[in-house]
Amino acid sequence: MSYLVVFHHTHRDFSLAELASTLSLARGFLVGSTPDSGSAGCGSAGCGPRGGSSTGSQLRSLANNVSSTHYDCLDAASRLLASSGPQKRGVPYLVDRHAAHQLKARVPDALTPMGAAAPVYYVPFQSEQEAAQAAQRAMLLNTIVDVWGSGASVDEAINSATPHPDALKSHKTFRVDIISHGAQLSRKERMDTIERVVRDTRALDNLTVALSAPDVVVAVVVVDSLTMDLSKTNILPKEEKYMPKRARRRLERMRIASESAGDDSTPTPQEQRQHEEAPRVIHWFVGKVVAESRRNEQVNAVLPVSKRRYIANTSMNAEMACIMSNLGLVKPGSFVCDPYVGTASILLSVSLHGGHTMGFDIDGRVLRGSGKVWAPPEAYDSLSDKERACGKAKGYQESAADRERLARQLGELPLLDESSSGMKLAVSPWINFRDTGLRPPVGLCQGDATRLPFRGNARGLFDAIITDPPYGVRERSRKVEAKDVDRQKYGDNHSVSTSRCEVDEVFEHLLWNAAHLLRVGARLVCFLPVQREDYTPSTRPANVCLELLHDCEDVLQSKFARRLLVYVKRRDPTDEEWTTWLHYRDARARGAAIVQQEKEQQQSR
Amino acid sequence: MKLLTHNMLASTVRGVSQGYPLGIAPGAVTEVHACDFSKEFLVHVFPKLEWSAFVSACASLSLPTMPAEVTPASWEDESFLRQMHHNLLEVHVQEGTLICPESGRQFPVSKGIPNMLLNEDEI
Repeated sequence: MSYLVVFHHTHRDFSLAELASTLSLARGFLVGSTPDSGSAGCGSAGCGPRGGSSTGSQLRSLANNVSSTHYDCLDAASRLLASSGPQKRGVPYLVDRHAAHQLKARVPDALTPMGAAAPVYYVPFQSEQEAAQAAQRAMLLNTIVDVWGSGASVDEAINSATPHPDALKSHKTFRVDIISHGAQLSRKERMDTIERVVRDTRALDNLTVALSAPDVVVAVVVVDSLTMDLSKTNILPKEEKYMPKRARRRLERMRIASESAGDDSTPTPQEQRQHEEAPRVIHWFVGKVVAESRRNEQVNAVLPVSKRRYIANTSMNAEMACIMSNLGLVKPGSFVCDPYVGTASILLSVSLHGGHTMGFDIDGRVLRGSGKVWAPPEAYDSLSDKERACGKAKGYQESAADRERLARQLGELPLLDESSSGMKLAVSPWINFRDTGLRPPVGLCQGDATRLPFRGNARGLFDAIITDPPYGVRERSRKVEAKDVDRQKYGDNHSVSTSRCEVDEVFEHLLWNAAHLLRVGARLVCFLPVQREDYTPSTRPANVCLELLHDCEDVLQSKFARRLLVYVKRRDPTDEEWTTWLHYRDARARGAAIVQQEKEQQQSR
Repeated sequence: MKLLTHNMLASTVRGVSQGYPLGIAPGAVTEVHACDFSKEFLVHVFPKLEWSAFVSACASLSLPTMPAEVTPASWEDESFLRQMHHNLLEVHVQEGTLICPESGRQFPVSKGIPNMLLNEDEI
């Protein structure tokens, strides 16, 4: 059954990719063991799924019968596992029942002239329940509507409305909401529209109005292309995005006028109006709200960067981090790694979705934090505007007097003592987890992402790798470069120096890490910085073991963008591929001749 | 650093073949941070563990001993699960040193963050 999905933005690639992911999360998970994925050569134990097939099929049938959440599946799996004995290592983990990464979304016919800018799509769902589940985690989705009727005007939409007889059967109260994309409706127009819906929709006759907590919400969706079809890209360029709507419209009018009228003749108002109206698409939909986004209560209330005590220059915003976590199909129990963890913004979102997390960063200072004591978020409110204005908004304590005053203001809230040791005290990534009450990472380690310090048989360890590698613009990419160190001179006091790591190399390592560390069927989600002019699909990083699922552009500046890439691991690398890669990696780090020499030495031994 | 993290880390110094498991030097400072108990997660993570390395890590931190072998009956044993949860997820090594079993290279742990970065001549 197709429902109309209304998105917040005209962020087409992102919106659809995210919906596809949340839908496949909602569709439940098949619990079972995947086919043996050639994990030979990665050690003796613990290198991923190797299930007993009988357990696998039992689990699978169980999962198919249980039309329930992953928790039930996990529970069932753990019971089965316990009964069959864990030595078999029949690993119950969750794989998608449907490979639904390609969403069958369709732009409503009337909106096809809008092309990529259309903010609404018809998407087939199996049931209302499924639609509601898919909407639950999606960040870019606004509302899902069961459309009763549509048309070029509100009258047409209402007159063509034919609600399913059962649609309102068990409901007693209703409310009408107007969701407009681009259309500028005055208060009077809105009221008229609502009145007309109430008057002319037969199905609503037996229901009474309730503005708060009604049984059913009737939605009027109006899409007006006038202010929307500004750009050929998915997202409006920054400058236009932040323009007031009126200014944008004026700009658009001027553009249309200059395009059609040529350079030297100014169009008459009549001509201008014609051109204005010609490409304009305006379309109305009336229907019942099936599901609404819960991003405000779920994410925006909990995770905004502005409420965090520990952030850095380029901390990922909560919304995007949640989108990434959705695209990585994170669910309770998932084990997720971020090799460029920074202030752990992405891991916060993963943790919000129930995942267990691990992070690496080459800069230990960012992980260990400053050691300075910052006030808890509650303290923000108790500070005066003046104090906020002079930079004390975060409660940074400069003197004993300040500290005392703050302690008074905070009342019972414990002030942390700088002198004692331990992560409780340092302002570090941990503090954000503690403030939000989310599960802290399993581990944060200082390590070089080009040489992650995992044991040799770590293949298949993670259920997702979600990361935002440094772009080399605001954050430098660093690696440890192989060279000789004068031990005599420095002794134990030598501190490691790092050198620049080009974006290409970063991604080469990231993709190979994913090919090694992910389980088969798991996803790698990462941002790739690109020059928009130079970018083509052929310049995209690729790996033999990974398949690209999504590629979404997020425009940062007119010439510079980042692209969100989502890969799925299809198979383990073969021994030959893996050793070739390691050899290549070492050869690049230390010089081909040296590596060859070492190899020969080893062989002769 | 939780023991779950320790269970996954290895020394990747040049010339070292396994570099696993990393020894925990005596005198490590540990703290206990409570963490929600979840049997599901233990079941989920168990296949990814190197059990023997976990057992020896518990011993070197003088934590309550874990059995050398996990049997199906263990999964019904609440006290075993609680103990495993405590040792694996609640005990943090705050200050200490990890030692590569082959090369003897020491990796410092400070403020709970192990520094696994290699020197330039160890790559």
